[in-house]
Amino acid sequence: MDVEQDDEDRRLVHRHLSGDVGGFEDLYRRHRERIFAVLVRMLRNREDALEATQEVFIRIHRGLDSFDPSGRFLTWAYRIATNHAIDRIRRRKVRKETPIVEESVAAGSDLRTGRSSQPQGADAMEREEIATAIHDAVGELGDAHRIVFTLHCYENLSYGEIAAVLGIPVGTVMSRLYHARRKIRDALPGDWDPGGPSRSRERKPE
Amino acid sequence: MNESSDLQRFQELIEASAERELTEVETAFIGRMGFRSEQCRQWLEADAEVVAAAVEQDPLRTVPAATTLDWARVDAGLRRAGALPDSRAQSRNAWPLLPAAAALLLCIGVINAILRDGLSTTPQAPPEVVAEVLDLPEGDGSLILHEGDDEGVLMIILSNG
Repeated sequence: MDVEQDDEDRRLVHRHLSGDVGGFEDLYRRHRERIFAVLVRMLRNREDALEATQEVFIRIHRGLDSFDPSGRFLTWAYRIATNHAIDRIRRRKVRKETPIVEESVAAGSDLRTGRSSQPQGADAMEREEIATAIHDAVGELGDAHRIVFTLHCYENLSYGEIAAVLGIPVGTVMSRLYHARRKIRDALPGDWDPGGPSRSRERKPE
Repeated sequence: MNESSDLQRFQELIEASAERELTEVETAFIGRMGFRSEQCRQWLEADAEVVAAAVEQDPLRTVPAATTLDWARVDAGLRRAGALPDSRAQSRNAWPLLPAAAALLLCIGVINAILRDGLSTTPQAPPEVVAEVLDLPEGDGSLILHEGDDEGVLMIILSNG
């Protein structure tokens, strides 16, 4: 997280509050991909995440005058996105989630770039096994653990930042993250070696 | 307390947090020791490296970007909610500027030509010229010019539609 980016965010918030409609539009275009990504990871459903992104930005727009400029806009936006994701998860408990992992693993490609990254043979099987295991394990975490785990392991937020986003003590973040990690670790194949041959090969230049 | 007893209490509290809600004091102890004590931090993050490596394999590590069409849908929702400016309103506001200026220039040219050359060879009083921009459908931009004399009315319609 970057100081210049934070300053630019504050400037855009100020523009919006001064009556310039372009201020919010710029904030939205600047952060929509990031908010969308975090919502996909929390909701684990692309369509839901897209709809949630729209609702989150509507909430952000309505609440911008309550944003404290001494804080970070992104932390504030993450808080709104996280609370919204939790609301949605609770509302849709009975709905079946789309198994995103299957389509992307089956396609064997980086869907962002369209490049094929399909590994061959044993490597492919190992990667697919790990991909499925991690995806399922994260999906099976309780909401509170999953949110903390997602913010730390996918969004790279620190303990302190997560505490600020969720409005909970750092000690709670630490204990939730510990339990989430242990559940994930237990779900991985016992003999999986993250420093094993597939990762070594991955680092070699082609 | 010494370091080993701190570590032991740290571990006990973290384990206990799975079973019961910790008190504020206990939670604060975890937070404090998680930052201060290298031993506690190492124990806390024992699985971190393996899990981080596994996360790298998760397809959701790289979320496929939303498409232009996806964003168009979100944009439309935000416009309806008043969070983004309405692009149609913008174009409505902007329309009179260029086409109206062009229409006005054309109108003045036509009026000048009529005043200079007249509409017929028969002598007559200076013609009465009325120019008006009608309230035509949005974006039409039509301009109608009436030229009236004793024998009738000339109507010129300039349209950018």
